Amino acid sequence: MDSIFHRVTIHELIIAIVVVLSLVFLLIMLVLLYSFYKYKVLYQRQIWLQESEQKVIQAIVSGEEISRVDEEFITRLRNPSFRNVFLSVLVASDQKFSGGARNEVNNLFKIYKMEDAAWQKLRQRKSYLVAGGILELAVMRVERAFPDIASLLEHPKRQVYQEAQYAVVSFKGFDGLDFLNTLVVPLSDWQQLRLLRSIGKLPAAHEEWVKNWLSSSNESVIIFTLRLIRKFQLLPFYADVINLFDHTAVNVKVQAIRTIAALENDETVNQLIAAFFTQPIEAQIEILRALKKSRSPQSESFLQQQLWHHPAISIKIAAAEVLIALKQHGYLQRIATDETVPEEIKQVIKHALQEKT
Amino acid sequence: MIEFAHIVYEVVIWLFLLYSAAVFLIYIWVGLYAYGAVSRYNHENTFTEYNFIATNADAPTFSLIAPAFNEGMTIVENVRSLLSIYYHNLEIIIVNDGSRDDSMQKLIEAYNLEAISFFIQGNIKTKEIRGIYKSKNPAFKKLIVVDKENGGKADALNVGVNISSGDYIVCIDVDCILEQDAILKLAKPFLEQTDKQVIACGGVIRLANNCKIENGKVVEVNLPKSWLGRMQALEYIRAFVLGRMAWSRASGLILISGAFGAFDKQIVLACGGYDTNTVGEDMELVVRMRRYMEEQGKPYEVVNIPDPLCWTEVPESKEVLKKQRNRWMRGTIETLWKHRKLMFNPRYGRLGLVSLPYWFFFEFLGPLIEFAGYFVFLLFLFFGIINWPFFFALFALVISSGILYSIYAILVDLVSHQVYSKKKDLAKLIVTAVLEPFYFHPTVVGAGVRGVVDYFRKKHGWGEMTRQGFQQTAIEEPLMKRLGRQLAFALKNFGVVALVFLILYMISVGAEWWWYRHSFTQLAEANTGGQLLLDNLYFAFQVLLGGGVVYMLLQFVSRWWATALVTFSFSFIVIMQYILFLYYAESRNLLGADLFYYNIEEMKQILNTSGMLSFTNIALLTVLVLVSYLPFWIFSKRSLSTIYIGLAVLLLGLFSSFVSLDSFLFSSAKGDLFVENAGRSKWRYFFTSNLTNYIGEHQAIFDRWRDDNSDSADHDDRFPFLRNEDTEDILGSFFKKTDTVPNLVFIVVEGLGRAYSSPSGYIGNFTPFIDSLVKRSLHWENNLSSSGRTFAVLPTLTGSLPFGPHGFLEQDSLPPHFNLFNVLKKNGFSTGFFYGGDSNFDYMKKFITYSGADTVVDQNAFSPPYKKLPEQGGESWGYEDQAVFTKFLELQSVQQKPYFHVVLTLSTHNPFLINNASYYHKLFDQRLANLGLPAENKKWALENKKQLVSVLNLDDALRQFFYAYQKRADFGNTIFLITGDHAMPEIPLQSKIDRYHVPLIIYSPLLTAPHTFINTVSHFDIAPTILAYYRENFNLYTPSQVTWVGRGLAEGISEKGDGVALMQSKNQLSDFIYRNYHLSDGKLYKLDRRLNADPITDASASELLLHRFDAFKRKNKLFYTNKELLPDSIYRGYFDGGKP
Repeated sequence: MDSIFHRVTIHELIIAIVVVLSLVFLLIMLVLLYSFYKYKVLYQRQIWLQESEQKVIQAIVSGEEISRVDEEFITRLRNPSFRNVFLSVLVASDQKFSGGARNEVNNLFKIYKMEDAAWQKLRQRKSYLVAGGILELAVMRVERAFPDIASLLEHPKRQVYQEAQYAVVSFKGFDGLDFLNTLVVPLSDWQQLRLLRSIGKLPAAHEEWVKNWLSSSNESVIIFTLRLIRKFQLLPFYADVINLFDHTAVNVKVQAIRTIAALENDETVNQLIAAFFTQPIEAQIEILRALKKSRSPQSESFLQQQLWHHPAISIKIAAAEVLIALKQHGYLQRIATDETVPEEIKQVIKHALQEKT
Repeated sequence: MIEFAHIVYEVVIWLFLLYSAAVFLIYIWVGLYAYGAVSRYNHENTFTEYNFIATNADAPTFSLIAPAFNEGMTIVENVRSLLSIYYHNLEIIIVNDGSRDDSMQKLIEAYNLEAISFFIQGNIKTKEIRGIYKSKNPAFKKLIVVDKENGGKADALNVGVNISSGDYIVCIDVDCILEQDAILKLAKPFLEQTDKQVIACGGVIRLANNCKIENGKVVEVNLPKSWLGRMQALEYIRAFVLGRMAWSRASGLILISGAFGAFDKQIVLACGGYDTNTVGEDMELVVRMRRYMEEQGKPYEVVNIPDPLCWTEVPESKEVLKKQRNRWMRGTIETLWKHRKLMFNPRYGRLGLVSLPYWFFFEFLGPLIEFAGYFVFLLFLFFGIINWPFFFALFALVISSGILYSIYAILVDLVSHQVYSKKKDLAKLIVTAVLEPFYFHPTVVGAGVRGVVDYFRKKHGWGEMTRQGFQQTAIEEPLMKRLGRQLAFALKNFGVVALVFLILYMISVGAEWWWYRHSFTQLAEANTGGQLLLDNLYFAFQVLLGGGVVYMLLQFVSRWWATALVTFSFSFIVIMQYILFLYYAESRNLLGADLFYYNIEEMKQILNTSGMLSFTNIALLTVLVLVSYLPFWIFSKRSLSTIYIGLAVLLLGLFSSFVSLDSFLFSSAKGDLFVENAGRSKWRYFFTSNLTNYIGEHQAIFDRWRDDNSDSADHDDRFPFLRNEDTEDILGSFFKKTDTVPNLVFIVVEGLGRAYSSPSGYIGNFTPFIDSLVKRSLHWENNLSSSGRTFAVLPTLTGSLPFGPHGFLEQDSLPPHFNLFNVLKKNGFSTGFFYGGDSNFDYMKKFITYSGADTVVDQNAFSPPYKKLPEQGGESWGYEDQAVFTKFLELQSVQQKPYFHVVLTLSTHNPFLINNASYYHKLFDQRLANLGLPAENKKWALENKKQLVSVLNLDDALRQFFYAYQKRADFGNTIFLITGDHAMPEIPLQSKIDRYHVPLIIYSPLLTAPHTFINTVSHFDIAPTILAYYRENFNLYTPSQVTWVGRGLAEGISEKGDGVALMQSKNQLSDFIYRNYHLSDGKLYKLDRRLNADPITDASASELLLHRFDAFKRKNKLFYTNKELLPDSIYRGYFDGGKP
């Protein structure tokens, strides 16, 4: 083997490999050392967590007595890592508790001046820190922070603007939803449910905004609004919601039907039946669910018709289930035992008859 | 060949290195990218409140599907654990996959189940459902239990999908323990989707082995007790926390574990659910879903979240682990094969361009390449060609990189999730990371390789297995139908083998062409690649036809034998193809039946001296044998789903047998013979050559077969070569008159072609001494040797003898005849033969002994200080030319009696190794500089430097020989004849005639004037002329009736003669010269005055030469079948009698 490869390159290769090998060894050492360090940090954090939790529980249990400030604890809070752990425990506790206990937690914020730490985070560059700061300030109900947080609604990072949205709503309730008027990016289901949860009551002057949102070009805003209408039973918007049956997005149609079912009046059943035939299958199923909920005998013949003639099995099943809700057991059993009836319909009925509700 | 071995060796090592470097880089990327992904997830979810979703009516519905097979022991507990999952819109579907134990009974009792009638809306085809159960107890209203026929996990999951009513399905193994908030955490990515639809989401799976479990919840996390378990714990960390997180972040994830994953139900239904034909249904589903989304053009995501949500028992026995990994590998291959269309297809975005290729190259090929690495290592070890420093460095790097990656994974896991937070467990994990590469990893690789083999030999796959059990149904079927079935089946089986053969054979042809282009500049420029391919393709189809017919017939007797026979012969053909083309590249000769005319000893000598039997070559050959046989072994058990491929192969075989290839070939007649032959199928040549040879040897059978009367014409003429001696003396007039009978010395130079020993040769003049002699000699410019190899030179030169079947000397016993040795001896000459090698080679000694030579000198006569030629592969051809010449002068003292000797040289024989090589290299460089050759010639000369250096050495030896001879008294009375036995085939031949075109010089101090003859003569003409000279000038007694093939130098190959046949190799009598025409392999060439050949088409000339050639062959055959050249009376009469 005296080719060029063996005389020259193999030597170089070995050198190259040994260099990389040394690097790998070095890295192994570094990773090991860092792991030990991290382990220690985490271990310490665990102790701090327990201490912090202890502090919170103490405060909640002993109530006002805590007004005596623990000087030693303040000194220890100068350690930023400990401060962060304590802050996170406070936020978590605040989310967990309510009423008096929650007030005590909030009290702890103030006593130990945790606000400063939260403010500092708000000015960080990393989006998760900023988001954490927003959340902490909101949880602590630091009203002063509202303008700063509101300005972050337009932040390019999803995590930041979502947290800001949540914060403004938790500060201002419905009024905090101001941003929906101009919202372009979609509002995820997760975020919608979170926001909805934070709105306790509606101000008297909400109509204009709600109307506006229902005609938003942002589908997720419409859906959110429909959920809002459901939650607060906003009957005046009945007609507007009916109009959304003709919206192009299936999701909007489905949510609109669900909302109409929640706002039900005498006309609803007929309106739903009238709208039925022009709807896609997902919306049709939602209409049948709505009929099931209303239990109106008006829909009987319509349902029978669907059971017999609708091409989609899922609709047949749903129709049969509504008939059962309408106490039409007798009718269904008669069909099920009739030999002239197609096997498929019999099976659908059997399926429906045993459906436990 | 040696160089070929080097290159293969280097290519193999470099490929391994490049692959390793790629793996190294990918793992660096995975490590860094995953770290980012994990941190981001953690940062985003530090304060996430999940609980409000659990009870929210607007939250989506999840259907949790858990297939169960024979889980009776634990199923009740497992279901209880699932029921405690914290999520409102959840249904739990337990699918009992035809368990043979009491699972169903236990469930019915424990949960108070009753059968209900249920209309199944999903449309995925599944095995039959026996019943659907719900609990009478409203506390268990989330629970649905399905009892179905056994159909495997995928089928059970499909039943679950069909029944489910949720928006999303969560598939788990029933023995998994889910965290309470598992569904909440899985739900988040689905709820957060905005512009991209999340179609699947997986979580991290952890090991439940040795963990403390109470009421279906993991309450204390421990590492498994066994090392095997710990190594899997580590492996799961690497796979889930690093691998999947990185791929998820890169939108390239294609595997959500079957033990725990959530999917968008609508997409699953649209794709048709799980594939029940694969063992890797989890991966296959994700690939199919991604494929569906790509085809629909919808933006989508497949997500992995790093939260540890699911706990599962892993196998802690090596056997079960191996089975599991075997199955995973088969699943991977099945998925890759099923979706092969996507590979590198830009239409499928990252899926086609990144994910699938990654899985192919690293997950599928990884274990194979690693295994091949072990194998190559063993091979190198066995042959002792390992560079240990290199090996150790590389080995240490590979192992330590693995350890680094594992430790890094532990770190990332520690920082992010703190699953294993006990100090002791962490320490154990680090020790595990160090041990893992030595124990666990090889096991997994082995199981993976086994999986590949199993896949190809048994399960599903290429061309979908269709095993038809016709044996069972055969009895009732009519005969014709049965035959039809069996033939169809055989065709399907043969189709696979045929495809494998075609692929392997054509790869070898590719290698052949690449190798030619790599080794020879003239071939790199030549355009014969297409021809080589076509000719070989033709040959391959003919082989397939032959093999196919044999297979079809033999399989009626025994399928096993039929398969064994075709696979063995086909792999042999592939292996031989490599050997044949390497032989051609090395010797520039087509290998034919002459292979079989060497006995084992000779073969060994040739192989040894050419350096073929090196360890590297044997190692390569071993690898070649494996690579050429394994694919047949793997695929021979399989069959195609269609008969048409097998049928098409056979039809193409028929086509190739009946339609001549010539109609497709571009004209290749003009130009370089070497280039022309490079474009021929070496196998076809080898095969036809052997076939013709066989027919030749068994002519009698074939004759009887053909026509009884065909050969009767010459029956009376028993001695076709016998004639009256009438050779004209043309030498006498050029010599001084003298009274003493001159001595005669023939110097036959191995491989001395005219192309490089004459100023007008097309390479150049590399024999300055011979050239200087020419100017003082009688010189025949257009002289031909009688053969393309050494085997015929002695009988032709000294006896003008015909060839017999495979050369005159190959005959069992030599028939009585006249030659210079015995005739001159009869006239009082001392005779001798001088050779530096083994005189038994080519049966030369037999001839010399027969002729009664007084002295036979071969390698056994030498001892130091005579130098042998340098060894190659531990063998040397024998003593160098200098030694032979010196020995000659030493043994032949000045004497009264005349002498006749033949000296045959050796140094210019392949492998062209000489002593004092550096001196002659220098000489070569000087010579090249002085000659001032045209660029073309110079290029050729440089390309054949090794050969030409050996020629220079020979020339120098001759110079020294003559220098020493001149000082002797007998020099003045000696005639020297110098010629070559044939031209070197290793130096490019311009046309086929060049192989025979050798110089002929007669030099003697007795010459009165030099002269150059331009008529075409051959070695056959020499013996008659020499004897005529002695007879006419010195009154020597020569036979009056002779069997000379040649007519003497005066006449040569002229109009008057019968023409001369030339034998290229021991089995190849395919050249014939008459007038100025050369008929070679059926092609006709016109020769000019310098023996340049020009291909022509001239039917009448062709006919004429063919006729004469046939006449010669008939005569030749008659002589060797009768085993006599002349009547015994003439022979005896000459030797027993005296001069009248």
